[in-house]
Amino acid sequence: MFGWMGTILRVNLSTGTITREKLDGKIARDYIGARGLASKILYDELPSGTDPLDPANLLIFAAGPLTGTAATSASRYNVVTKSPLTGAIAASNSGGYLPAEIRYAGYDMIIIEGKSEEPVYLWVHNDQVKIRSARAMWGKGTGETEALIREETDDEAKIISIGLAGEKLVRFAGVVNDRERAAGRSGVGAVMGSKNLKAIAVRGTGGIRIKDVAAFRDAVLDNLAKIKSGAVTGEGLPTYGTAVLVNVINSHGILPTNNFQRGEFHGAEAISGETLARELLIRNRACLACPIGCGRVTEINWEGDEERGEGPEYETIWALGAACGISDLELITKINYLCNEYGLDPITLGSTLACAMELFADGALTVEETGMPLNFGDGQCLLEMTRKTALREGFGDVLAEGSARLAEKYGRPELSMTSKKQEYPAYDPRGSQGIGLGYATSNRGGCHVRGYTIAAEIVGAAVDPLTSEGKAQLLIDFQDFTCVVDSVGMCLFTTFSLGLDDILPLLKAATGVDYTSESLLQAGERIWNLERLFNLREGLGRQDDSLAPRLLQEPLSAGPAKGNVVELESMLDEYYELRGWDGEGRPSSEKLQALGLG
Amino acid sequence: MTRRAAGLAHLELEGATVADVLQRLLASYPDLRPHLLDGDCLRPDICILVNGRNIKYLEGEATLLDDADTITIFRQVAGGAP
Amino acid sequence: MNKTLVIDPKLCTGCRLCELVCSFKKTETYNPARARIRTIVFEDEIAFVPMTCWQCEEPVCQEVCPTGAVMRDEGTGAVTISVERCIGCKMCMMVCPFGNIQSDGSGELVVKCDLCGGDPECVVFCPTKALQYLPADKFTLARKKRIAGKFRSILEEVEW
Repeated sequence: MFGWMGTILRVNLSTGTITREKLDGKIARDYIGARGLASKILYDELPSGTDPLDPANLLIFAAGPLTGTAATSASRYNVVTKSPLTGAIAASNSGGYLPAEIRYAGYDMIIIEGKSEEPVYLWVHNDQVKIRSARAMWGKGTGETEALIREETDDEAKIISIGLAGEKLVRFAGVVNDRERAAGRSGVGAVMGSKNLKAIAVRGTGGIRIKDVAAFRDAVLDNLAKIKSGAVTGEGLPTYGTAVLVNVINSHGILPTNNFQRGEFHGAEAISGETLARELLIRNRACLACPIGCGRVTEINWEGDEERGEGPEYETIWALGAACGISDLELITKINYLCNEYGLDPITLGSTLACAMELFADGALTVEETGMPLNFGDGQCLLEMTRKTALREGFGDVLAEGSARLAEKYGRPELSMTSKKQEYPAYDPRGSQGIGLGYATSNRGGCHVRGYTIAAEIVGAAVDPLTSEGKAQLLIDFQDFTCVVDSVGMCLFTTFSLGLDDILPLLKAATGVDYTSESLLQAGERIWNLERLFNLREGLGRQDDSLAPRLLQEPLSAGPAKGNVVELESMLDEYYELRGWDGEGRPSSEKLQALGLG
Repeated sequence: MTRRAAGLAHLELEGATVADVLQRLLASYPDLRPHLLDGDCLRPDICILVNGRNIKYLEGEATLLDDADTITIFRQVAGGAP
Repeated sequence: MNKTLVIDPKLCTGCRLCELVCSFKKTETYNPARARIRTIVFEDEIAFVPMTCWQCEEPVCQEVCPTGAVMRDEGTGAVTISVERCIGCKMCMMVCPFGNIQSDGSGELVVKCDLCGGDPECVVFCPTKALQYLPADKFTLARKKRIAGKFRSILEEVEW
């Protein structure tokens, strides 16, 4: 095969069986790769109702047909499984160097089944695959784990691992690769921990074959020029990283503060990208093949020692900052480093703490339960609770369940800022209606990267953020296109400069498949609908396409979006209709037929 | 970008409309001109907010201003984390 | 005047696009293991240094080669290896002080950077200009100017 490596590696940890399967050409064409292809496999193979932490759950590490090529920012893979946080499908995305290494080793994806009795790691060296004891790494952070495994395997090995949070089955544990990159959301790290799989080390020395070498090179050069000349990809992201959004979003009055009680944060300047660039930035870092390089190498002075790491990103700064009323950037950076070490999703961590802080302020939680006061703005408490959460120690054991279960437990479920039990990212949808519909309909629960309408509503100012008119179609376009981007293995950030017609020539030249704009976008729609079918089969439906009551009932009290709530019901009806779904959000049989899902 | 060129984060200016204020800003900080304008027009990648509302959804540069209004100017930027 | 492949690690973001396009040009596959250029990643410092042949004026690889397979390309100044003459003894690989000649296990006996015949692919694609292909005098002048600029701005701030 061209583009695709053509082989799937399957490892059953219960039996120790290692098999190689041929990738089906038709399925590859229809579902592209990465997120799409892995979702297809999960849908076909996982019995409905499986407990996400049961050995029967599958954990799939899937790269796309462009991953590992020179296509701009084609560094990415998706970790796909049934989420222990949401009960819905999880597809968590990461870049760095590791995803491409899976392909150089000869595979499009690695499927993990079953559960090992003892802690193990997987060592994939081209066609040599071994399951090895991870006794020496169990209990260690991701950085140390990588170093130990590299000593045992190959200096050039690229590594995925879980930290303590994954081992302890924290429901929002992530999977960390290349020390600083993470498939952070939806608890994919807990699934890895439940299988007693500490890490996967990969070394590949094979090549990716391209069908039309000259056409592919031309398409890469063309896209590279577009990325370099784009305002966001050529200048904004390289210069300031993602954190530049702090001031911008705050200016729009939609930087969620103190658990979404307000949309403006007085401490925004102190945690802004500008402050980060001035105070902490050492240099930029890029993932493989990425001309943008949004990664920030930072350094902090922590209790007398200099510590260096990556980040924090915008979402992290918000979750550990404004969401909890905290404006200490050095502390936020330290906790971000800890999240990488523990393998924790900082968005859900921060938002869960914010929820706990509101419960505490309301008296629904007391020091008796928490062991210490949980006040908005108290950074030391956030630091302490991060550790306790990762270790499931004391009250951390409750926090490790995420905000939905926390708020439920203490009788105030409405204070959890979640959809499908997954915490929202850093945009108050009351001032950006499209993203509100996006949170509600996202197949993986509260999330901004299933359909980043912020690009049109705020960043590009192409549409008025305060109106709900036209947002259903806008969101659908974003959702389907994002399915394509995630499935080819490129980074979503390229889409600030590239469109479907820029990805099309890459995919055609790489695979030799005669995709058209229409067939490619339809593949995106197919993937979205398949994910939906997975969730419907798990019992989710219209009642789960909702938002936290605060966003629907409490108008923002100040700022540009003052007086607004999310007009969800009308947008949702329109969305279902445009999607070809019935009133309960079930795809019609005509739609399924048209997509080849019937 | 603009902040760096001007070396200032916040300043107070007078003007009845956004266009007036822009004119005064550029008179005081001529170095900003190429960052904000393309010829005589606003560059397409420049966003201007009045009290957090993009002027595209108000009256554009003719948007009328009150005494305490806040104008925010920035280049197109983006963020998030996949 | 021959041009020089100039590497500025300070501008390198570690994207390794150089490795990818090098391997693609030489093997028509994307395979960093077979690239003639490598970005060395310092994990703890999070720093990056691209490494490839410096095309030495007095190449020890040429001196040691028993078959005269290592030659200088008159047009580009690149030190090249003749596939016809090479017997695969790997002496050149062993003596290169920089580790910039390699055996990539692909059938080709040893490989190294040949400056792509005067249009290095890595330079074409490098998104940050960490890799440039410049006349040597232009490179030193550019660096002189950069340092002079810093010198000047400091002098302006200091009161004498």
